[in-house]
Amino acid sequence: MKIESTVKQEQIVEAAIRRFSHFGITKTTLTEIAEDLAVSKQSLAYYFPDKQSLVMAVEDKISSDYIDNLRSGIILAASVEQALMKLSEIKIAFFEKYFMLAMQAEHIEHASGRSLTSWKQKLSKQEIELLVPLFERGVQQGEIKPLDAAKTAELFLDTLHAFSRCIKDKGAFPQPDAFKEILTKQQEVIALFYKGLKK
Amino acid sequence: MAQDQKQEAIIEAAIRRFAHFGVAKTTMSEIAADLNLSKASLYYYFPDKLNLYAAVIKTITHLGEHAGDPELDKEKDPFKAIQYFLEKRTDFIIKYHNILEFLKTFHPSKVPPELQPIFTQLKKREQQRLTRIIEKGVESGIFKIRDAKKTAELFFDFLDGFRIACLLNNNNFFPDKKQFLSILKKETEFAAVFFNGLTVKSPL
Repeated sequence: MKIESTVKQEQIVEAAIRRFSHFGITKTTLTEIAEDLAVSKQSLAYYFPDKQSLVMAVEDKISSDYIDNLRSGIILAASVEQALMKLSEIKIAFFEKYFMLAMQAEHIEHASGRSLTSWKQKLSKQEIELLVPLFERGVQQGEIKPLDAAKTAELFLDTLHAFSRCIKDKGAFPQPDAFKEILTKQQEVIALFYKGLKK
Repeated sequence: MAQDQKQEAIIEAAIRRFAHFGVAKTTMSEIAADLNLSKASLYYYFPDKLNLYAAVIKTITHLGEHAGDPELDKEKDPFKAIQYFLEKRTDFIIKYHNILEFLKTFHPSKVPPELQPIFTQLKKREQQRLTRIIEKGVESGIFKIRDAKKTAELFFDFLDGFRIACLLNNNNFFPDKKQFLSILKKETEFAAVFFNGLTVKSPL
């Protein structure tokens, strides 16, 4: 029984991700998600009493997929430079895939007065936790100069973030080119950033 | 901006919204906001969503332009021509299925008068193209049938019903590209059998 209910919960989250990432959160109804899975609204409500709880489950799922992806990308990289490049690729890919969802999640958090503590801050904390050991290892192995790993990680992420902001000027439907353009810019900056760190 | 330019810009913005979110989930306010237009001036051009929808359908189907498809006309082999026809049709459906979806909200006998003539015209154009394809086979002596038009109608009815049946059967999720491609594959298989059947003398 317990296992079954976990499976159902995961199915609901998957269906919600599909709808949210295409139509956005505000344009998706719980009824539609229930219909996608051929379950009644009541039984959906048993797992997720309201949209807010479902949105949070969706955010958690996407975040953990994202962090898992980042972790294996960083582990497989042969150098700090490679790891940073890979990180920017994974970041943009997720950003593009969940653009509609992410933009609206941000908007809803603003509107509801919830500070951005929830999703974004949790994520960047996890990103920093992945980057710190990467930089520390780079220092130990003599690839990069001695540095404050935590501070550098934060600066690095803020730098990437600055570039991904400009996508917002492209309106509600940024084309795939727009994301590619960001990635190119980010990677140019990473190259410079890395030169600055290199021993 | 000149008046007809503005109208075009509105249609383009509506196509983007409708194609992504579907008609029901798109509001006139969103379209106006995309263009930095006031709602009042949007309504000056299109009195309601249905009128805008009609204009969108006319634009994406290129209705009222040329009736023929030069690429299709060039293809002499009816088997290749039908393949081309089905691929183009699938491309169109993949691109605009969220726009076309809106039609399902009307009972066939209750299509609003704003849309009725457009659909009659579109259906006629599709049937004409299919008739032309089948006529090619008749002219070159491959197809042994008398009535190309009737045969085309039969094929068209299959296409119409088949997609709907497939989408109903598959699952309840809103369809994605993969699903339409798998329908295309089946349609192509059906077309091969159907067209092969035309090469044998038949009552049609």
